[in-house]
This record gives sequence, C-alpha cells and structure tokens, in this order.
Amino acid sequence: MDGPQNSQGWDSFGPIPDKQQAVSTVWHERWQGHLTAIYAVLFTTIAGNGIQGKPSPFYGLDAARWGRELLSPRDYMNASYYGLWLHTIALFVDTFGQFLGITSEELVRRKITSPQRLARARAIRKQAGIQTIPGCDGPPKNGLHQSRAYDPTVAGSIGRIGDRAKFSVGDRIRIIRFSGTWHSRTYPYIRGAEGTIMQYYGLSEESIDKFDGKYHGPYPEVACQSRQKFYAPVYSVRFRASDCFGNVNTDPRMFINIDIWEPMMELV
Amino acid sequence: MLALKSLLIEKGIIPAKMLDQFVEYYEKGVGPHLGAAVVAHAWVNAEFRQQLLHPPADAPFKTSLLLQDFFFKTINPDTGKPLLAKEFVLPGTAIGPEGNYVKILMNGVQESGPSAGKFVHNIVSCTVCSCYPQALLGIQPTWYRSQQYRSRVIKEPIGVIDEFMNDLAGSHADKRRQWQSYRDRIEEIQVWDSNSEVRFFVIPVRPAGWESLSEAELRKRVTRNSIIGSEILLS
Repeated sequence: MDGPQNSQGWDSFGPIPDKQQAVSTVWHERWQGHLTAIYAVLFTTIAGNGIQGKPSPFYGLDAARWGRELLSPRDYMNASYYGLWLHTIALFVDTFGQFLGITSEELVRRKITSPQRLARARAIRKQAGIQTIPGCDGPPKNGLHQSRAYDPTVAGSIGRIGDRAKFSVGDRIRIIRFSGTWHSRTYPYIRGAEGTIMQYYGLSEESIDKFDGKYHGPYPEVACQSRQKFYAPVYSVRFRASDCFGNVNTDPRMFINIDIWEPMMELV
Repeated sequence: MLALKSLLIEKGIIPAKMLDQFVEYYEKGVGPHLGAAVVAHAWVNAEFRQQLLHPPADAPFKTSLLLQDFFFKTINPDTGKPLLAKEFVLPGTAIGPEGNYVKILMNGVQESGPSAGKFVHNIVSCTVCSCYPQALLGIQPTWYRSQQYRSRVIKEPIGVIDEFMNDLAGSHADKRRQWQSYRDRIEEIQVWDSNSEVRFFVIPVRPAGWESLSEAELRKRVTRNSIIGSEILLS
C-alpha cells in the first residue's frame, strides 16, 4: 500500500536529530521499553507460539508493518515513532481483538485510541477491500501472486517453486510496476527500475524451530494478512541510484541494495 | 501506553513478568558492545573476517551461527562472563531478535567480490520504518528511525554522513581532514535498505594509528554509528 510511509527520497525533512545519542539511552522513557515488548509479543514469532496457548491473530511483523500502511496519512505523519505502534495495535484490535478478548470500545474507553481515528482506519480498510471478518483468513484477493503461476494453497509447493528459482546471480532484472493495497516491501522508488541480482538468499518461507543458516523470512504479500504459507525465492538486488532517482543530481558513485521476492521482477 | 499495558496484563494476555524480562534483555543483554566486539575481532583475525564476509552460497546466513559461537565462547574482560549469555537468546533465534539473517559488509578497499580493489563505503537504513540488527546493536537510536534519516539516506548518503561527521568532528581541524580524506577515496557508495528479514552490519575502516592497539582496546573505540555506516572512525 503506498502512502507517506514510503517517503524514501522525499525532500525537506531537514537535519537528522540526536546524531550522537548516548549508547546508554536505550529508551528515553521506560514505558517505551514496555511498548516495545508488547509490540514484539503481539506481532512476532514469540506471539506466534501462542498467547495463552492460542495462536496470535496478529500474524506477524509483516502484518504490523502493513498496519502502519493502513493508517491515514494524517495519523501517520502526526504520530511519534511509538505512537505509530499504538495506532497499529489499535487497528488490529479493531479487526482481530475478539480473539484476545479485547474490543475497540475498551481501547476508546481507556483513551488508547479515539473514535475518530478508528473511523478513519475503518474507512481506509473498506476502501482498500480488506477483509475484516476474523477467521476468514486468506491472502489478499487483489495480490500479485494471483496473477502468477504460484499457488500458495497447493501442498508441496515449496519444492516446486524452489526448483524453479528463475534468476541467477548476475542477471539483469526489472522491478515490475504495480500498485496494490497489500504489503509488498517493494517500494515505489525501485518500481520500473533495472538492477542486477547480486545474491540468491534462498526461499522465503515461514519460520522454523531451529535456525539452520538458510533464509526463512515470510513472503510479505501473503504474510501480511494470512497465516498461509507461501514460498518465493528472494534475491539481493543492486540498482544504480541514478536509475531510481534520475541522473541530474544523483551521485554517480551511488548504488542501492534491496531484497526482492521473485514475483516482483522480470528478466530484462 | 500505560492504559494498554494494564489492559493486557489485566486480561492475562501478556504477563507482567514477560514485559520486564524483555526490557531487561534490551537494557542488559544486548547493545553496541556486541557489535564492537565483532568488528574488533574481524580486524585482528583475517580468517574470522573472511568467514563473516563470505558465507556458503547454500546457507548464506551461517554467519549468524558463527556469531553465536563467537559470543558464547568469548569472555568479556569487563564482566568475566561470555559476551552473550545463552539464557538471553530467544528460542528459534541464533543470537536474538533480528539476528538470524545477518549480512556482514566491509568498508574500505574490497578484498574480493564485484567491487574488488575499489574503496567502498556501505551505509545501512530501513527506509520504511526501523529494521535494525538488534541482536548485535540493541535498540536502534532515535536518529535511525527518524523520518529525516530514512528519507534522505537513500538519495543523498554522503550529505547525511557529512552531517554526522560535522557533528562528530566539531571544530577539530584534524578530524575534519580525516573525513575529507576518506570521502575523497570513496569510489562506490552502497546503501542497504533493510526491507526483507535480512539485517546489515558494517565493519568500518580501522583508522591509521590503531595498528598497535589490542583487540580489547579496539573494542572500546568502535562506535555504533560507524557500524551502521553513518560515520567513520577517527583516530
């Protein structure tokens, strides 16, 4: 989903704050530490192991990031860093809170969110056609994978897709142009740009019990809205910065490296 | 926030103890001292450095297991204990949160790879939010997650580093000269946008004059900002 969250390359934000922040300042306030913990427990694999023995309805980090993209630009730009986390939690409680035994009304009553903010978030989800019925999990209906041969619902698809990692190190690829209301992690500044595959990381897939040195990150487009597994090869891709931002004022020595899932690109 | 915390605790969704353990991990278990230890060891031990920079192609994140081994076996002279206690490592992770998929980069003249022989400067960002190698550096500094850094670093990294170095060097003419000389040597600037689960970590250039320092002394001089690439180290 595209909005002010993807502000890469935007001008006029000004000088960077607090560049020499002391290492001893882990948090400016202790509550920030607790919110970090809450966020991690609700959204990451820790929560994936189950809250009170039940799986978290909050899916994972891709869902959390997507939650930020679903905030109205007004709420996004006005919020502090930790404020964004609170807004995102409120948004997910509004959709999936019943699994935790919390309602958005309780959040409003306790002034964790406001009715106006909730209304804005609901309107955005409605416009984006995003399912809000808990239990009706599934990859986004308008997602990129729908237009490709990949079928996340076919058992054993890991081997099939893994066998056909289409690209090799050194290949020139182009990021496809697209727009969608799901979470792509493939930002506007590289769409349409040509780059070179520098490394093949492996197959994107769900996390494992014991780490083995291979890539097991989720596929964002599906993971943002579903617990369904979906596998896609992931590559490290290098772009000339001038191919992203034009060559008028871009340092010719500059390159941008970003990780891209196979469905997002095509061979040049 | 307090309202949310008490709500989650009241409902039994998150035990209060779990929140405290989490905070303790970030305040006491991890921090830039871990990253600095990795850099110092990579400088003095060429084999370790090569292993970090060139993991096997079929398991590109074996690096994290190598780091795990290093942290568990290396005694911190300040505490007399291993750099990382096993009980601090969360289940399912090699060295902690955002530490499974670590890719190590090196600033300076590249010994091999596509930029072999060139003087490269790497700088790390997460342009859409704040992904960061927490298991190696702890909680990200405020500037890393600021809109200012995220929007600018992807388009004008040298301008960003100039700003950092201006702050760091202040009115010291010699320090300013060191940065100017380094900047003039840069042949490639590589910006890394942390959009997948992979987290980037930079081995900065060891300044001239630090040759005779011991690994323990080097460890104390490596800064967090230099490992992200927003600064260089000055002698």
